[in-house]
Amino acid sequence: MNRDQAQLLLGGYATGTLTEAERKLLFEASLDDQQLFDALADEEALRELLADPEARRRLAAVLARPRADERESPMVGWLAWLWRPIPVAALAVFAISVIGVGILLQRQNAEFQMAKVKTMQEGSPAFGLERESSPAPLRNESPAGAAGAGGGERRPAAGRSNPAPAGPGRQEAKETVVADPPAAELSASSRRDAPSADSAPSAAAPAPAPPGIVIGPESEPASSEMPALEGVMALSKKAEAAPAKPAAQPPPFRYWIERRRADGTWTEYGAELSVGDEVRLRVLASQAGYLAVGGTGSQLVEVKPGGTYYIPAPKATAAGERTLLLSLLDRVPTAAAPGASLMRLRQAAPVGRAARKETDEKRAAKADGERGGLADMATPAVIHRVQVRLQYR
Amino acid sequence: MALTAAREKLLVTIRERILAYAASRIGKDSAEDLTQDALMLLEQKYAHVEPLEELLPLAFQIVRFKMVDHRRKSHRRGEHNSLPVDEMPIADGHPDPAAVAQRRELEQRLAEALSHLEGRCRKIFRMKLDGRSFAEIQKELGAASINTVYTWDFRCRKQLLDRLGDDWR
Repeated sequence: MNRDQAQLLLGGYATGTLTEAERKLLFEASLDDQQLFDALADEEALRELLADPEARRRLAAVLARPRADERESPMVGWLAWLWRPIPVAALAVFAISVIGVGILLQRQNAEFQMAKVKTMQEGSPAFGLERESSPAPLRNESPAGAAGAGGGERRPAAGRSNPAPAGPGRQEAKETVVADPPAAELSASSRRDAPSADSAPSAAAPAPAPPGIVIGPESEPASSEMPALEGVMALSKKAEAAPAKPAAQPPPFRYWIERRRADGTWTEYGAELSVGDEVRLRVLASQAGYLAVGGTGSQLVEVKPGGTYYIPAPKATAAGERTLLLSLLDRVPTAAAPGASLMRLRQAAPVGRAARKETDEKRAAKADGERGGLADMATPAVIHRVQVRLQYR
Repeated sequence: MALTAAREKLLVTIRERILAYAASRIGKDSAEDLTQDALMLLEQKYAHVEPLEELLPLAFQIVRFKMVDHRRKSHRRGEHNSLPVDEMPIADGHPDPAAVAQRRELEQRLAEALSHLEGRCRKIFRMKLDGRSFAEIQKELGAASINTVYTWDFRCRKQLLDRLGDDWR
């Protein structure tokens, strides 16, 4: 080592680590280098301190302990471990999974709420203003009420396979449907059919649908949930950006299912449907249009706001589920004669090129959601559509 | 006492170094007096010390004491709270309490700085405190040459001084 490198020995001066040769070399170099001399002079305090054996022992004990950084903050080591690639990757995967599950759950919830809203808007006959006229089970019906209600409702529809027995309210056979009294009167009539307060303490509450009749995908009271519905609708709009009707807007028509009793009167819902029961739909329209009935056949009824219309359901010959599709159209299909109150549009099956053309039209109509005989007509715009399922046993 | 030519030449060199060092620490005017006092001691009291390896550490020690004394005197002179002579405590032969406190403070600062050393520096300093020489440290650490150990120690010393700060002296 030459004198230029003697400064490397500075660290050994205070601790007494230097050999005699190294000390001499360092001192000689310090006489030629003022900086080295100053550094040595500054080290004198340290040298004096480290010359004390007790001080050396204490300082050695300090060095024997773990580093001050680790001792002061145990989190440092843990964070250092956490920052390694594998833990970071595991944390990232976990975070992504949690976010993904959260998004999935939120989307499912939005879809569920959307379906709920649609069901409430379309299917429930007890939806809206007519809550108090919700149907009641047949067993609670009083004979007097039933007789009173029968006067205004025993109006058979033309084309029915089983015409209703003659009664005071019966109309001509040609007339398919007859406009009933206004909605208020209908409500009153329905109230007459409802059980008395003595027999049913909760007469105002909606009666559960009988097991034989299924109305839409879900039948549940809706009017009490109207404020919540608006929030649900907003959520659904956000989730799917699909246009939705305002929750407060009533449907273009409402319907009730009625069954003929043994005495010839009609009652809402009735008991469980049995094969052979006569069943009809009572429809209260709030918007003008043409009501098409699909499923097993095709019927077309011109409806006006406030009018009540009766649509007979096909008689079931076997147990099982029957489906009726009620569609309110904005105009008369071209194949249907204007003013026809009820007509069957299904024609005899054509052959050849005409058959292929008709098949194509059927497919187009099917894709548009139409069923049965509606496919034979030119496809008008559907304002509102309800699917009614009747369960026979 | 007649000075040998070699010792005279050495004292001249030491005087220059001490003067420059003291001037950088306490100012030029006081440095002249301090250097003169140190050399008087070396010349009169320690005239028998001739080897450089003994004379220079002795000079460092004298300079350090003189500087501490200078700071104490200047502080006392300029202060309004100076004590009357008859109230001054009589020296009892024990170490100066101020020096003891200063030394204790330095030890604490050194311990704090040492506690932050890591890895090789920690090992080197520990072995130095154990009294190992650089050659033994080289063998212990498996270094290729002793110059490597010098370099390591020089860097570790710099880390330690950085931890101690500038005012530790």
